[in-house]
Amino acid sequence: MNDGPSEGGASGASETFARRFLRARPDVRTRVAEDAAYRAWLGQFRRVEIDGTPLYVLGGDLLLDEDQVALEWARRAGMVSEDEVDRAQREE
Amino acid sequence: MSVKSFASVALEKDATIRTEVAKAGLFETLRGGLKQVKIDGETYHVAEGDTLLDEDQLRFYAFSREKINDARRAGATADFAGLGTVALAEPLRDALVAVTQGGKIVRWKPGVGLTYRVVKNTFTSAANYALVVDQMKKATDAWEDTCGVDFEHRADLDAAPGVGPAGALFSVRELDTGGAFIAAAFFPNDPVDRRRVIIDPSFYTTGFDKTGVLRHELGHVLGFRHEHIRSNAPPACPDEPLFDTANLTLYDPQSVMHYFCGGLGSRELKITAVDRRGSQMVYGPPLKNMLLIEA
Repeated sequence: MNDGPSEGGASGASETFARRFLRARPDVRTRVAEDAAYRAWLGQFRRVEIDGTPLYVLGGDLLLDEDQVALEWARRAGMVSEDEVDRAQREE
Repeated sequence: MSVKSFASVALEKDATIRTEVAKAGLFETLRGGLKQVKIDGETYHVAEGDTLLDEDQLRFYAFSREKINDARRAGATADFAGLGTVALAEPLRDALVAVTQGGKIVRWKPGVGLTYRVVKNTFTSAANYALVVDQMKKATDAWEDTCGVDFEHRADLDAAPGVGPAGALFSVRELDTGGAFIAAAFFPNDPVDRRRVIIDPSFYTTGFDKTGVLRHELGHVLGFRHEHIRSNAPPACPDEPLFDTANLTLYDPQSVMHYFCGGLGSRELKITAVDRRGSQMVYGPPLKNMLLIEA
């Protein structure tokens, strides 16, 4: 989601929230990429490619792209606050 | 003169609480960021979409949010270092877990038809295609018997070219991922081009009930997360995203959304009474129980 709320709901988005968020916060993307702990954490997950998109398998059957895992790590490591993410989600 | 909130009274009476709560740096962020409304001359901050907090209540809210976030991060960090913990005798807390975004539970808009096609040309055999068609019917029937959703197999689109939904809401297709998973799906708020249920060939030989696997995946399609991400779940359950969730019901290790891990969960992946209650909180009772009147 989304291009902004339509009547009573949001329309399907063409890109993830994580991509939009990291595009607005390139500093976070850089910090994550430079974090050795992130690379070690990511290395434990299976990586598959579906329709040309590389995806990581977390939790057994959840498929996350590179932006989504990066944002997940950023939140876990405290590189972004929950309120910042919350605010960004609400603004969509 | 307005009646003071408990928060105001607590701050007035207890200096220790006042000192602790004042440490929450999040308070200034929330006070500057949340919408404010004035009702009967009083100003309130609007948290979580519809929770009205006066300034003192906001201080407590900020304090508790900070602590919750810190605890989550600490737990995740400890778990990463192999030092995660789970309580063995903790009282049961709320369960079936929903996806959230911006503080709101994510679900399909009422009236959206949950149509799907089973992409024939992706299956390595006609028998496998027929099996998945049959299992999907059973799994969708199970959810329709559980809560207010309506799935429809658009068999007329099964032979359409390509691998996308081709006019349905989502596709169901076979894809060899080398056993990375048995099956995988998507959430309602995922990008449109990810609206697919993927069946890995390991599905055909899995020890899990095949209909149960699809019940589980369709739970994701409806917006439900894994039950085992809850703090009560055993640490042996797979690492996965921790955020953007809301608990709907009591913890249920037999939930259709609980992985078979840590000695808990069920290979049958049946929809439990707890799943029923939680899913009805989001989608209401089954539609077949209702007399639907056209406009």
